[in-house]
Amino acid sequence: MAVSRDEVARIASLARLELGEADVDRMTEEMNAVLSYVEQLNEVDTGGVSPHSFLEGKSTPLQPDTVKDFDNLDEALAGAPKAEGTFFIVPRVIE
Amino acid sequence: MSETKWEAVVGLEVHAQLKTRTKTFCRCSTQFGDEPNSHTCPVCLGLPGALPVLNREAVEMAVRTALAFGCTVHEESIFARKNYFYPDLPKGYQISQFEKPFSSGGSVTARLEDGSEREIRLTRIHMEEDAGKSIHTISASGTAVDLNRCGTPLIEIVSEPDIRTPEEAYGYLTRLRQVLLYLGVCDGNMEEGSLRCDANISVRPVGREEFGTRTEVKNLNSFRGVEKAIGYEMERQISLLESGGKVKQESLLWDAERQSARSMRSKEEATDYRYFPDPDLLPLVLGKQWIEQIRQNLPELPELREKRFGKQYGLPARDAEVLTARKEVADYFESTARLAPGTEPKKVGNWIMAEVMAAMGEHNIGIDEVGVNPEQLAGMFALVEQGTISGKIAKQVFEEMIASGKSADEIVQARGLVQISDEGELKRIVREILAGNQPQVEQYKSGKEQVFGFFVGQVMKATRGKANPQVVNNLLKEELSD
Repeated sequence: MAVSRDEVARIASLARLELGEADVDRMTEEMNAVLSYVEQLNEVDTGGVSPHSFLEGKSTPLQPDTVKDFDNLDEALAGAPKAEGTFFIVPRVIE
Repeated sequence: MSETKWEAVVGLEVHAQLKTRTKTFCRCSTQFGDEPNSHTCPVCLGLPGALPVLNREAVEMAVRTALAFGCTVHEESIFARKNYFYPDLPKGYQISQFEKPFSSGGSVTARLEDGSEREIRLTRIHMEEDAGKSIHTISASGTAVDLNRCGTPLIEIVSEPDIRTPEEAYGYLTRLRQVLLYLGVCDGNMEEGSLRCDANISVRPVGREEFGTRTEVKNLNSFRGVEKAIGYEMERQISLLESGGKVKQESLLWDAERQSARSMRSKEEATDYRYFPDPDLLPLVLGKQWIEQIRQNLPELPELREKRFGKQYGLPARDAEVLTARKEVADYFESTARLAPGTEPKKVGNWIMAEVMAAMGEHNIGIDEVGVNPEQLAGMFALVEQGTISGKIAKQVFEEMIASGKSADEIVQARGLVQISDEGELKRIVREILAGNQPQVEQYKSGKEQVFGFFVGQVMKATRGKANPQVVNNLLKEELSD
């Protein structure tokens, strides 16, 4: 299961990553190396095994519906490249 | 021109915001309209390392909804990441359900204007989280982002392409909203965005099996808007096809002001959300017991309640429909009927549909805000049944009850509105009226019986509506036959 250069370029564009031609070559090579390593797992027959068999029917934990406020908005805003009042400001998005 | 008869094939996707206090995966408040970003935390801000923990109440509300629509609730379901980039989605993905939603199947019964019903099948209901809001107009230096809504729990209700006309879509949505309100899982407010709808629309010649190319219409913010947009899009597609053109698969944005749909800027490439199971969340396993418990606690649903109202209270079909349209009104009716056992339920219903609903409409308020509770209304009915006040005076008393919050009894006493049933006193008034209106008495005696109503009116005027009409009738007949 190899990844083509085109697929790498497409994934990069979906992920909004800017890759130069050389980057695409390098990424294609690296991704293929990772995939072929993981591919070894195909040697094991997992046909009858559920993807969550190791969880033994455990459910995701649940929490109660009661408000627990986070009170450090200032720091969160300070961590953003730009904020005005309590708004985060991002480069203008036009639809 | 062609003689082809066309029909629409429509499927609706409805997003309903669940009425939980806190968000889907963190415990920030879901309160609407507060200071921007005041209800955010590392989880819903998408900060690195923050982990989602599912809200139990959101699950319960979602399951309640699925059970109410007869969906199959799956004991195991999986949350998936739906990846896309937009500033109001700071994680870069929305947590949703994709391959294994918590429910599938089910149906919604749409009622049409002529009273007939159509069963619209559901594909699935799944859980997901909402995005925040981007505001483009508020800042000169860019787009402002408010993430208070980000992470609010939603259910997406997906119908099969079973809808054939705009009217059916309207009936479907009306029923859907009614049930959501009965279940108390969503406030159903379309303007505030707690209920949102997208429509997938295609047309085909009647009798053909396969579907035509569909378009997706978004931005539908009222049920009438959905109905209009479907009608508009049907016609657009039909005239396109009849003139030899082709429907292009695309997303359209409905413009309610112009009553037309325009093409959304087509994305440079087909949407590719690269769904995959969210590794931060284990599967959701719903025990049989929990599902059963939720089922047991379902309220009586509107369709059944409407039927019961007809049977138990002897209400005409139309009355039963109006009185059960909203749960609070149905509850109000039943409480009043129970507290006023001497009054015919039909009369209670009439009063609610006329006087109470008029007050609701006038001030655009809910029945709980009218200011007269079932107990107080029943108190007024008791005065009518005892003959203390007439039905006519009752209206006056009711208006004052709304205005003052006082009981009917207090108002009647304070204003001296007690009905005059005393024969002696009324006889005196009747005689006075007859004596003062000799020409009309002559007319009546010569056979012009319509004048009778005039006498009744005069007596009522003289008593400011307080005379017992039955007694007045009897007395007048007696006196005039002499």
